[in-house]
Amino acid sequence: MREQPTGESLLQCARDVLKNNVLPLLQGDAKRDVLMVMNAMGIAQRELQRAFELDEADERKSLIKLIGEPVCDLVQANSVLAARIRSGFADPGSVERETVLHHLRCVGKLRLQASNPKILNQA
Amino acid sequence: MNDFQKASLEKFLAGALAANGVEVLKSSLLSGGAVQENWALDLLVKGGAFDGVLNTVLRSDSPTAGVAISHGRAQEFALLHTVFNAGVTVPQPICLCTDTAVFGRPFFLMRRIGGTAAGHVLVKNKTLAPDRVVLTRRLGRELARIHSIEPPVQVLGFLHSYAESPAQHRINTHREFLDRHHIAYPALEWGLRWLERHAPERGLITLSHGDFRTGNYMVDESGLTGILDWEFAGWSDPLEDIGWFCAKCWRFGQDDLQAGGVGLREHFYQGYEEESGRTIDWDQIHYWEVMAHVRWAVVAIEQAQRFCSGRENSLLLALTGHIVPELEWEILNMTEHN
Repeated sequence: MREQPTGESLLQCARDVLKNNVLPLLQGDAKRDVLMVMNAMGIAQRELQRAFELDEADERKSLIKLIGEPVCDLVQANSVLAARIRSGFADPGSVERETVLHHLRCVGKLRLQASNPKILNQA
Repeated sequence: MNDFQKASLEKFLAGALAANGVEVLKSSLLSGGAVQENWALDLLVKGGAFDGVLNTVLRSDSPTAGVAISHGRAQEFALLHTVFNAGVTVPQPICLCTDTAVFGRPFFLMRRIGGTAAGHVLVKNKTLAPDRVVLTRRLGRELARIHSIEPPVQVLGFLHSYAESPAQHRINTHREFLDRHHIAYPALEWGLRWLERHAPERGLITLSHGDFRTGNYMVDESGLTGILDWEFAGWSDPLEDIGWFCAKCWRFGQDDLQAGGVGLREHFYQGYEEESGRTIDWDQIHYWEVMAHVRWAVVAIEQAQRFCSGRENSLLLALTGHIVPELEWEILNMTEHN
């Protein structure tokens, strides 16, 4: 699952800051530059949406394997996994522990690639 | 501040400070939150214990905050008073006024302190509190003084008490939050399960600051000037504050300086142990550092939710949500082996 708020809504909020707080202060070249930045952010915003649909397909596949049931809804599947972890499904000594940890690491990596990839380079 | 408020304040303060007269020399509204309103108030006090120029902050609820939190200032004053008397470095609380006829809302007055709190500035700018060993030991001692306060304390009766262990209490609170949230966080559940399996039993309970970390104390060129931000204070295991202070997520990028990004853990512990007379169990601190990561993640989700719900269009709140993945990553690192 993607971190909330999504990159698209962050970009939207950042664009609003530029539009409402920064743009009115600018003139000439600087104004044109910020308009271009805002345009680029709009494009990135739309592309992000498409890229994450692919990541979520991977996450869904991994969850199907883990839960052992067909998964239609990612939110629902994550909530099943969370409840199982809470009740001891992945405690030390359980068969599933390594698989669950592997899943959490893979999903975590995808989330970090969007939120803060520097952390992955440190490891 | 209008002339009526000024005159009304001067009259009240003359009585409260047992002075012959009080004059407001200067007043300016400080930037602050949506819930509190803070005024920098320079006073000329004639006679009494505070005779002379007195630089203060007046802290009141904001005019729009509503009735629900109208007891907030009285509670905060009681807290500040208690820790000040225990020898903790905080702005000296001067007087409380619950009579709304004076200023329109309850308020209290405290001495104004100088310095900088911003964590990212403090860890890099060595002209602030230049002797970091001294600062680190001092912070340990300050925390030990906070922890010298044990329940029951009559004036702190408003602080929530509970029967379970502080660790289990936190775990339950976080799970309740996650259950109400619209999406699940399996990695945080992993962390919470680890915390439950390793939870220490209920032992010594003391006053806990609840957010004792770099960023929440002020320093100037000479050193520490005050511990701030008491709104999360409560009763807890004293080790919780130590874990929060040392946790990797509160080092502002200075990972080698494990005590809040400003000093060595040894020096912080030394200051704490000298003042409290208790030896710190290093293994137990690891537990509370895992707890710190989980708790910060839950708070970050709450803050992001304020943005996502459409209530507040703040880029800062929105970006805070994106701290969660790195906190989860660190939680897995800290808990995967047992």
